[in-house]
Amino acid sequence: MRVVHYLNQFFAGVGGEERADTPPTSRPGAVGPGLALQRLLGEDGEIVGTVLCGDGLVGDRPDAVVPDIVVLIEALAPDVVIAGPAFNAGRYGLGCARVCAAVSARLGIPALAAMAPDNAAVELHRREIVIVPTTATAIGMPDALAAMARLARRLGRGEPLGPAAVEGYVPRGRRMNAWAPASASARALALLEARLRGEPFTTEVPLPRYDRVAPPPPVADPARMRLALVTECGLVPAGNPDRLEWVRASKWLRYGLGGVDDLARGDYEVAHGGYDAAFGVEDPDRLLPVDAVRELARRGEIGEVLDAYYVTCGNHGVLGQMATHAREIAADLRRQHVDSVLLVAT
Amino acid sequence: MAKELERSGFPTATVTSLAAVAVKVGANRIVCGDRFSHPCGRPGLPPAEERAWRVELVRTALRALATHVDGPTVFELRS
Amino acid sequence: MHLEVAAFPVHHARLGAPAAYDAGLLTIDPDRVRRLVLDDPRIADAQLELAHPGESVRVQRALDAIEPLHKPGATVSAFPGFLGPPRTVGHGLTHRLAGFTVVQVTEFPFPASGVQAFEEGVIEMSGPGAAYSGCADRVNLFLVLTPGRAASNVDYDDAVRRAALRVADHLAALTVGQAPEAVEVFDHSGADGGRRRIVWVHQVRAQGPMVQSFLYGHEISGMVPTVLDPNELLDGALVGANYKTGSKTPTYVHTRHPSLLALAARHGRELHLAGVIVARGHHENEFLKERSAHFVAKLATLLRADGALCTYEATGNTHIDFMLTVQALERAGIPAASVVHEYGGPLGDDPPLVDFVPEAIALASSGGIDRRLSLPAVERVIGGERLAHRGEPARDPLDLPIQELFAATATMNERGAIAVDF
Repeated sequence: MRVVHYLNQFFAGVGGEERADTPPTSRPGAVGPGLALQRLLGEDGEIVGTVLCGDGLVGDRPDAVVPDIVVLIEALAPDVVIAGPAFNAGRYGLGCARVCAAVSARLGIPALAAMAPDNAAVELHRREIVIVPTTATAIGMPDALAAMARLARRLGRGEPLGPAAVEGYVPRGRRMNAWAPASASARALALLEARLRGEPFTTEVPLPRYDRVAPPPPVADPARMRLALVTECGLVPAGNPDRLEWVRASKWLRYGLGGVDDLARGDYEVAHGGYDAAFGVEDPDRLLPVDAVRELARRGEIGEVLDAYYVTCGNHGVLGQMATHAREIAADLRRQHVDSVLLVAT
Repeated sequence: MAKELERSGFPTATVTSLAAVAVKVGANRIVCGDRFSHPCGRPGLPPAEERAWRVELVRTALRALATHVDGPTVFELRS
Repeated sequence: MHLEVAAFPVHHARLGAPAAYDAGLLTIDPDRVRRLVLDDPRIADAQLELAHPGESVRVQRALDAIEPLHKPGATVSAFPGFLGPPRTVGHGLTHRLAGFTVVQVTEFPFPASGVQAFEEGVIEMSGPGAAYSGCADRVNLFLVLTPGRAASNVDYDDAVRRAALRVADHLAALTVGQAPEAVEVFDHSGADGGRRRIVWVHQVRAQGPMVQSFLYGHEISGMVPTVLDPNELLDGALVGANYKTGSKTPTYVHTRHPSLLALAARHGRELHLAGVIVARGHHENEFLKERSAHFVAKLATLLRADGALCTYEATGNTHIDFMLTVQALERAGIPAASVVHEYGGPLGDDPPLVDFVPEAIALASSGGIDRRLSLPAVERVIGGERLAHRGEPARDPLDLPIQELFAATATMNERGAIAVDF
């Protein structure tokens, strides 16, 4: 198994911060921590070359230097590429991650990087590449190298990796089903008993963190706004002509309102499996307040209302897909010169 | 969906029966609607009153759209 | 209360006469079963089909699945409120046809939409879907029914439920007078002896017709959370009537829930099972969700619970009811641990939970329900040649998300499914 090791200028022994502009360079065999890494790999792999680059270059001008680094790596014909360990060094971590991502994407060669789990590069790149977690400082060098050697063997042999906790890499953002020896209830009970005994326990489902979106500035004067109506309630024209699915909808739709003042019973139906549709069928304004919006427009409290509405079904919507739908609707709203939205959510 | 619309730059008033969830998820302009199966309706009211309630609901949404907010903010109908 | 459950395992079933249970072989007399079913004119016809684990069989339009129970010579009956008066059960002796279910397969006579529309949950007896499918690991009698003179879907649903329970009772009663293979004793009435008192919080679906549960013969959409002795569930006090896809809890899970079994196994030694709190989910607004959540916390406090094991049925906005309940328990000083099923999209890279509270720190995963499965073609189908909601040919290879398999979430809990980070 041919291995190429990527290092920064410091670990390659070229110099410190003053040499952060060291251009991409290739050296034969193992260098610096690569020597210990080679001992750990033993007969299973040979570090045929080491490629190094200054942190300043790869951190601040990656588009300029990463292609050159990839060329140097390719020339060595590796079966696997290992980068770091970068510990908590920010630019070095980014450099390792970018090099690994480029090698994977452009050369199709398995690559792994090593750095501390809170290195900024981890959140940016953990989905694209395999990252081995290390301590924050080089005090954890021996463990880091041992983990890198272990995973390099598996990747170099083309073996698919098992779960992150088992193999020892940073979770890459995918949760897959497996089978445990006990029912989920029994495992929950074990968690409960550990808590009650005051013992450490590990939740099987980490809680998500929702990002914040900066609120767009308010509308200066509603009497001059151009408002669009969007609903997740699955309200569609009778007959559901475009077959909006009533669970896990795969699309969004835009329907003209035909200038009506009020949504009439019988003209609409509900494509949503998560709530009792009877109320909305009886009066569709309960799901899309067209009558109220038209009245306020007549009174001059709303400038203009787009004479169309957007609909999807919010029942079990796959979040990534719903976000895509929203972005596409936003693009359409821009084309229609809309400046504000009233969204009815489920 | 509210957050993506906001991320795209549109001030968005989200009418929902589950304001607490909308706050947690991070929608910024949240308007308290009625029940899950009729967020913009109150079927228990006589039709004229329900319609008047709905006009007030949309007015609240307008107020939300015209108000500067720093983060998730809940707007309730003024009675 | 002291309950003995006598297990009579069914390894194989066949149609024939006379009806009998003999050392794992169940002989089902189709004429007797048909007479029991058609005693109710709301049902016009009944055909019987059998399926065993590993057979190349796919079933659709299945409603509930019931493991037969019978209380020989008792003044109360199993499935109280249906087969007998609504009097407290969970004591005495119960015979159980272990590893066997009676399943109703039928279309509803009238159109329905929204939450009341039937949503398919396929039973897959073999292949890659079997691990996730309810009924796949047991012997099943399918009652394939045709509606008769029913006034509404609700009326027909009532007929169909009672018919299946009559059949289940008849079959379980075939074991009377025989020696069981095993007897389990369930008795949680003693003092706790200083052991930690744990309650099981069982949130079930009760939104209305087609998505509901029955307690002692009456639906519970208007019910505030209540307390049961665990034994009552073992005797069929709670009957499932939720017909939504993979997120339903069939009656055979209510009568043998993995939470109850896990707790009962440790009762009297590591812990004291202090009671079961049954609550409905899917409340219509935050006021009702909060009201129910706090009721659960109050009941747990009254039971002097040291901890709560929490599970819930179904999905969608009922996650919110559940998380508010966990939050109320934690804030009342009762630590909770819960089973949650995860979303995550087909690739597992979407967020796993629809809703959460910061207090939900102890969660066990029962796996991702929207990963997809490729199912092979099958030799035999029961319940129709085309799938109910998309109309594909039922015998063909299918590509489905796991949650479109019958009782997938409950099955995944039972079998030990778990989602892990890759």
